[in-house]
Amino acid sequence: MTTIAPPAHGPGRVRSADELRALAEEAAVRFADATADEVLAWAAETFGSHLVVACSMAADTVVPHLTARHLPGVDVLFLQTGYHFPETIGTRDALAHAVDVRIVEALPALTVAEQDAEYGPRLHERDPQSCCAMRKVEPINRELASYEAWVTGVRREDNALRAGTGIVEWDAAHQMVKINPVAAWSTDEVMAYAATHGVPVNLLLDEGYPSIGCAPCTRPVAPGEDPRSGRWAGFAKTECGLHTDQQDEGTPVTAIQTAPPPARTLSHLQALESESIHIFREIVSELERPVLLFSGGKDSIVMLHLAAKAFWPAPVPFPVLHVDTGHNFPEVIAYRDATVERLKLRLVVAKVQDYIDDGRLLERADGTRNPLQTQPLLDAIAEGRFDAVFGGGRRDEEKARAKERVVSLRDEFGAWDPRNQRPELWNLYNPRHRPGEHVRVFPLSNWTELDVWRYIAAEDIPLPSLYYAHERDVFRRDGMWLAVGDVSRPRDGERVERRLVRYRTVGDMSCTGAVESDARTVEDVIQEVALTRITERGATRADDRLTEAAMEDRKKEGYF
Amino acid sequence: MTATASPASPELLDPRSTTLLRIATAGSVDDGKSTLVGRLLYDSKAVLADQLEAVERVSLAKGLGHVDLALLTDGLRAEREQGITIDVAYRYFATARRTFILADCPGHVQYTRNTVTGSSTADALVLLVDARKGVLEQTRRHLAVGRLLRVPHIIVAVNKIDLVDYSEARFREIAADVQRLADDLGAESIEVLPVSALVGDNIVERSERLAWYDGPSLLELLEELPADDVTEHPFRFPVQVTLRPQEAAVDPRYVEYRGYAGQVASGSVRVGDPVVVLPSGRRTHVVGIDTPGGELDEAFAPQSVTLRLADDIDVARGELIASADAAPEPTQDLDGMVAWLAERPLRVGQRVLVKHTTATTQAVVREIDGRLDLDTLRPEAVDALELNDLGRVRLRLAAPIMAEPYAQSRRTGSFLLIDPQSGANLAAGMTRGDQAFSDRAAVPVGPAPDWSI
Repeated sequence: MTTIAPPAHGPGRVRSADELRALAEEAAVRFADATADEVLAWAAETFGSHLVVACSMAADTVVPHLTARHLPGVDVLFLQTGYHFPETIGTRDALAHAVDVRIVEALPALTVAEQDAEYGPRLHERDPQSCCAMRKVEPINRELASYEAWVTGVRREDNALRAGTGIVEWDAAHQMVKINPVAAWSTDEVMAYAATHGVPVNLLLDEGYPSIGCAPCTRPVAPGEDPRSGRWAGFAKTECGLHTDQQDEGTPVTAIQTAPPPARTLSHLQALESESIHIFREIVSELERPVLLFSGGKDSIVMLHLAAKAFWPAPVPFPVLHVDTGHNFPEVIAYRDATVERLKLRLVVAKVQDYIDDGRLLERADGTRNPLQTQPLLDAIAEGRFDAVFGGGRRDEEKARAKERVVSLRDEFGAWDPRNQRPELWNLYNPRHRPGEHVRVFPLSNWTELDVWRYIAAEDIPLPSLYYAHERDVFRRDGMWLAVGDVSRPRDGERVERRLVRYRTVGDMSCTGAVESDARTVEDVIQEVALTRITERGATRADDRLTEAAMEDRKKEGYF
Repeated sequence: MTATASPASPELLDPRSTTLLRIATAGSVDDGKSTLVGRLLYDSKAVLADQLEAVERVSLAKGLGHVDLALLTDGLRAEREQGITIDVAYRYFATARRTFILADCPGHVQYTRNTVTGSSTADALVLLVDARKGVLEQTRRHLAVGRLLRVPHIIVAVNKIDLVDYSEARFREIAADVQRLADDLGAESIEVLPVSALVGDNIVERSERLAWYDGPSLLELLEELPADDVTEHPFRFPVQVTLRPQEAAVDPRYVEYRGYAGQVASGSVRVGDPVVVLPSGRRTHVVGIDTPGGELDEAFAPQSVTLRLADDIDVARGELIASADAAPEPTQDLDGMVAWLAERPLRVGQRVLVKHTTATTQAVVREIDGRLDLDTLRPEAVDALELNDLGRVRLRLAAPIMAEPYAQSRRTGSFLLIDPQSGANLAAGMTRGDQAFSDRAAVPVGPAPDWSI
């Protein structure tokens, strides 16, 4: 069957690609912090009828309204995929009445009926990529080729992928200027603008659909989820390809054709979650008195979240233990206490300060207390007669940890013998031990720092605020930023500065360093971690940096 | 310029976009396995600046002319000092399409223990061969273990190809040897490819120096391997724990709740499906599939879920909820291949614990049929199994288990032998396909190799 694509609506291009690129690059700088009105005034003057607004008829209807103030009658491009919700079509019609614009529809080469006849019904269920390619990407590419610049409703808040969106950009894929006037707007600002100016917005927005596409491939998302996670749910896809760079920056595609993932495939995060839940259930079933080490740090928070999921709707069936160095961040202790209250947990606290007060431990010359935690920990394990201790250790943290088992046997002295570990086979975890021994269990063994953050985002887990960028008085020591506090005072020659920082790990406040960061949200942090070039411990734990074998030595002595 | 593209690949930010692949690596001493693993981590950018600096510092201190990437993976002090690797180490790296968990299995001492451990969870085994040395006895052994453990994909990386001047003829010769060996072992999915871990040829990027090779690079291959689909098998759900919160429930609505928590070992189940609870044989059907995030219509392997059943029956840990029309036979006789992992030998009459899925039961060793000579791949009669032996044993159990042939299902076909006193793992076991078992006599070891499972 030969099909002829419908002609495009634009007037065609006058400027060359090089001219457009130069315009885009100059404007990107000039309008980096511009308001929507400033950039749209420029766009209307510069491009006139060569400008088009793309609109999905969701909340981005404010963009045609904003543009029409500077360019009445502007073309508004709507992708008529044939699969829209009735509410979306209704929004299109309402917009056409309410705002001075010309709606132009980008039509696919094939109607839905023709596509069904050629590729079989419901192609979107089997191969959403191909369906999008035919019904969205090709028509819009065809239309955009007839204009010089397009205006979109892309916002940095949409998802982490869009966090770097500029107000004006060179769109290399379409070889044209791309203007994102509301890139910096929040959802609240968009809705407030629509309400003030009487701009119709899609009714589905009130029903849990923050991002709206074709009806078969869009579902509502839970509060806190990535708004676009409701798109192509069940597929590894959140972008149809309109707003992403067409060039794949990953590894080259091999000759082998990838089959689309089978419908019954877990993502790697789901697989890790299932594995961790399995571990919790095994240990609780096989041993008498487990306990979970809970410091208020992010790994222990994620671990506790998984434990709560493993036994729901029953409560977490074990107490939590905090080895308190006395050198705490107040936010972390507040978080710890609130969590214990919320989950109705029993909290056991082993205090390093008590040991120092009665002389069982000596304060170190350097003041750091992380290494002093071992004795209080072992005593608390013995006093509580705990036979399994859940820890948040991950194998990606450090080289010695890479050889740790998920279930790791400790002798009467809490010591780890790396040369005599039990082989760990299949998913058959064996926590049996002799009286006096116990096992340390690491349900997050196979998680990386990035996985932990992605899970925090996916599950919307609250963290102590110091994990996100905030201003704090800090001073530089051993190449790290240390916070000014009761236990960490600058020495002579160490200058206190106010800096925008966040913490990647939390421990003894006197030796846990902050990193300079402007990552204020979980998406920012994911982006940052993905680009980070230094390990968590290398960046922020002075005590691990002493010798090459620092961690191994401490583990052998019974430390976590 | 404000509109710079993010250097992070977009998929990295989407938690649903990547799948998980577990890999094990094995090789002989000095075939450059640690370098290969270091290279994979380094080239896939999983190595961070401070780790690399430490490696550069040590390389310099040792007087090496190059950065020794093997140092990235030698984690323990004894290993660094002796320049060897003594235990399985786990590594993590990711590409835009897949997240990898790599079990790095040392090749010399304890190679059986280490390779069995790494292979037990692996979707793919990457075996190294030195291009100068070709297929060695160790290669045969590792390949046999990978085959025995039913690792779905085996990849043979012919390393140090730079040291044979990128010779296609040499590569073809080794590839033919590997293929013969694979045919002997009945291994199906085997891939052979040339690499140089030291130089970085064909690990992540294909190399111009290997122009005659038109296949994928190692990482490309790993990205493309289909994951083992265990959802096609019949439904199996070993019960881990019964959830009956009563007054302690997180919400008063769940005071009467009773559900069976576990991880789907194979297959899938839908609400309404008829199931059988084993070993009792009670039949019922599934009325609910629960997760804290909400109810599901369907659960599949390897999801962790909680099932609610129609009838008010008690199901305990260790029991199996299985598809009603394709259920396994409970058995108290276990015939399997075991990898013996303990210093003290295994003898007939010894009492052990068997852990199979979530069930643990006492057992006595009835027969030792023989051990497999990994060099000849032939069975030989023995009285005892020694450390690192692979042998066929028959056990009588105190209580029935629902063991299935390992060749059909790794999850429900595998078991551990545990020392009842110390609690230590004694052996990794795999149930054989044919359960025919004369109660009286040991089956004589015939001339034909019958060690398969």
